[in-house]
Amino acid sequence: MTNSEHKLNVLLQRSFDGDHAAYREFLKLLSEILRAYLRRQLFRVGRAEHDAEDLVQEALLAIHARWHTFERDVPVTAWARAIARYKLIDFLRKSTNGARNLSLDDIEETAVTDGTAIDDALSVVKLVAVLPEKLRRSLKLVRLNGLSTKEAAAATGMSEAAIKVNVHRGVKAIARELKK
Amino acid sequence: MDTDDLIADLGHHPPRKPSRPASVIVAAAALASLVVALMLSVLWLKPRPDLAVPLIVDNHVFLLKLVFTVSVVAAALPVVRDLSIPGRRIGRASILMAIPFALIMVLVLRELGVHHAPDWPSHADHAWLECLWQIPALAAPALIILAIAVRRLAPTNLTRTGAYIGLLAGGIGAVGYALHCHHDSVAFVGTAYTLAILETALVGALLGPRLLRWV
Repeated sequence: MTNSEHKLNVLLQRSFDGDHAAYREFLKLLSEILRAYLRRQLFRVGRAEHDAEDLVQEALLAIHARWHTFERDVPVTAWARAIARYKLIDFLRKSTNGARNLSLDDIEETAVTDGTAIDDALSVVKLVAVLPEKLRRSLKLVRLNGLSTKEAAAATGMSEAAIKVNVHRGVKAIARELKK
Repeated sequence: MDTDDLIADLGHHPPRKPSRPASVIVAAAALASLVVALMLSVLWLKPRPDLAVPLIVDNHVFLLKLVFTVSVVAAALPVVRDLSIPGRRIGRASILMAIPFALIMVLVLRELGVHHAPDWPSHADHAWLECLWQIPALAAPALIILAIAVRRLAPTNLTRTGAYIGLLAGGIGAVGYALHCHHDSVAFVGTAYTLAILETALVGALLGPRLLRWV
């Protein structure tokens, strides 16, 4: 990131001097960084990644219109990402119909019902595989095989409460894994 | 539209070098807000009768009111500026914000310790109510002016920015109110003024997402 920060700064200086080509190159490089960031964030909340492209464009437009808020003591990537994040939150707020605070459970729920992509499901299977045995079994039975907590408890001999706790911890562990 | 086309479009208009206008815009909006609040205070609430008398300088509680309210304004200004710049860290500035409130609380406690009972204004209930709605009323135009100014910048956390704009507007309203308020008691300033300013901050936080949303 520091490498691209440096490159962006050089291009930006030239853009400020009126260099069109440098500004285009700057936007191109920045859009790649923002695209990666927005895709990651959208995936985390279980949204289709194809929304990312719209958001990249919205963010670029906002960045282009708000250069007057750029100050040199803020790294340009941090500045641009804060704007992209603002656009992302605005988009999520509008499209989730008032669901301001997505909790882990909501995130999980949307990820499953949304039918985002088979790829996502496959990567979840892979992620589940790295969990500790106990968490893995509970999570697999309840979230992947679709058993109720009660049925899962009967199948494993664990208590219902233990199943719930394990599922919750498993989801959290996966979220952590995804953040890496 | 394709992102590459968009980039090609925008590329025709490289930005000019920004000249740190965030500080200027926020300061100008705060100044305009202060002028409006002072005018409202003079025309609507009427200044306290002894304001013109030079002896007012000897009135320590009056001076305390001014110092307290002006320092709330001074502490909130840089935070509002920083919150209007994407990616800017706030850090120490928000701790500074707590200092005026902490100091006035110390003074209130000290007064309680000296007098056991505070020298409460005789018609204290009335004064309280008046303060609790008149400071926010003086702050309302300030809140609007500041919101219009900050929207032209780029706040990314609208609730938090709204809260600090509310604090700033509340401080400005309280400066105006101090010209009118003749209840000279430290305990009164420390409680009623503080509550009225926090009230404005709460309104700012609640309205922030609507008032400050920019596209």
